[in-house]
Amino acid sequence: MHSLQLFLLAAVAFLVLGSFVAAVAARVFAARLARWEPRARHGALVLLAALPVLTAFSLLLSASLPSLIALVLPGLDHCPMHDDHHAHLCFVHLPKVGIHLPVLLALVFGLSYLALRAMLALSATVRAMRVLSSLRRTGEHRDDLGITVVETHVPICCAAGLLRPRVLLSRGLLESLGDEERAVVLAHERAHVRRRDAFVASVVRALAVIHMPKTARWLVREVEIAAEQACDEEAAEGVGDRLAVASAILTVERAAQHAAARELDGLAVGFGECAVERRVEALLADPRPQVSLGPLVILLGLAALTVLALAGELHHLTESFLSAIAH
Amino acid sequence: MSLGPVRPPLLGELETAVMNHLWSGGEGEAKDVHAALGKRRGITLSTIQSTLKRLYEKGLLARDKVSHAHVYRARVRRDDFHRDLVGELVGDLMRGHADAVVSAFVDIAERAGPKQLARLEALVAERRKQLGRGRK
Repeated sequence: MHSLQLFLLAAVAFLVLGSFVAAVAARVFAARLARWEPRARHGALVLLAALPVLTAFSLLLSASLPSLIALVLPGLDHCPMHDDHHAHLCFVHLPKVGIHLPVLLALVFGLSYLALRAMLALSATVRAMRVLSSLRRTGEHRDDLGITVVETHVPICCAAGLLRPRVLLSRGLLESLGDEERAVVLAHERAHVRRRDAFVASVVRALAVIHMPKTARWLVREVEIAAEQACDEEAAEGVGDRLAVASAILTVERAAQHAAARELDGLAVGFGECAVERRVEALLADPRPQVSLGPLVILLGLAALTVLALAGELHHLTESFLSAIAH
Repeated sequence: MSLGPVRPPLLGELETAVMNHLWSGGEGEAKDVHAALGKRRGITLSTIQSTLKRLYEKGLLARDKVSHAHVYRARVRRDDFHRDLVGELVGDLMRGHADAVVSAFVDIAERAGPKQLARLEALVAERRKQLGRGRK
């Protein structure tokens, strides 16, 4: 039990460290990332979202490595050098003393808070999925377009669903769009379906819980905008006209403004720095050159190997840290 | 008729099939619905009867007693049902509760300001003009 407490505390400390690393990386690379083409930017942002977890996993694996080696090769066991009151991060020599009660309570409350937030988010997501499922099953299936038509004038078009998304298009929007605009909108939404963007976005939202609040808000928004821009690019490649995509975005935005004034007046609609503006301006500019994520992945792999190579030092450092704050 | 601001009832698979049948076919007794849906699905008449009763209790069906049987019809039109579901979905998107399962073509919760929109439309029109593709 004491051993579990120490491993848990180490994992939380490494997650906090990872979220600091991610916050610094976001600050340093935000401007550079903004110049990347959206598909690569989306991938890089997802990696950044996973950075605290990747960091914590590599650090915990590295700090546990001497103990794992001692399990296989008892001759390399170094624990007998320490006394029984040492904070052993070890599977062989279980620590005799647990962590201080206040630290333990803080740990339990922190983890309970995260679990509660996750459950509330999950409950809202499940209800939204049931609403979407009702819309899909009672809507008109247009197999010729590969969409479900929803009987409402609210101009809504979305790829809906987590694992098996389907394109939903409202009757009002379907009837108001011209052929070219409809082709753009459907190509964009099919790109979301193909890329599983809603699933990726939900994973990023879950990972955002362990980021610093400011970094988390920035990450969630940037991932969503990058996904939209990636689908804009795919739609532009599909219809062969970037300007047609920009024009369709503005048509739907204009329709959404009318609906917001007419039908959604009970709901607050945000104005301000707007995704539509960034998307249209990107489409009016020349396409960004392709960027490979390979070097970034190799860099992260090398960083993880370096952390593993420092296993001995990290193990002692972690035990000293745990002894200082826990015992 | 509209279901109002109350959250619309959600439907299971059989309930959806029954509603779709009644929206398309008007009205019917339990045995009519069973003949259309139940036999094909291997469902008993009593299952159809309890589904109709559940939909009636949810406020989605109305019924009249004719002779010894209830004749059911949709109390809520399909477009009203959809409007209420979309209303809930839009509300969830505004509150950030449904973002995980929906990728909308334009963000539901965020509108470009009128000046921003006019500026962007002017930019697109200007670019079309430059490309010689002038269009109204």
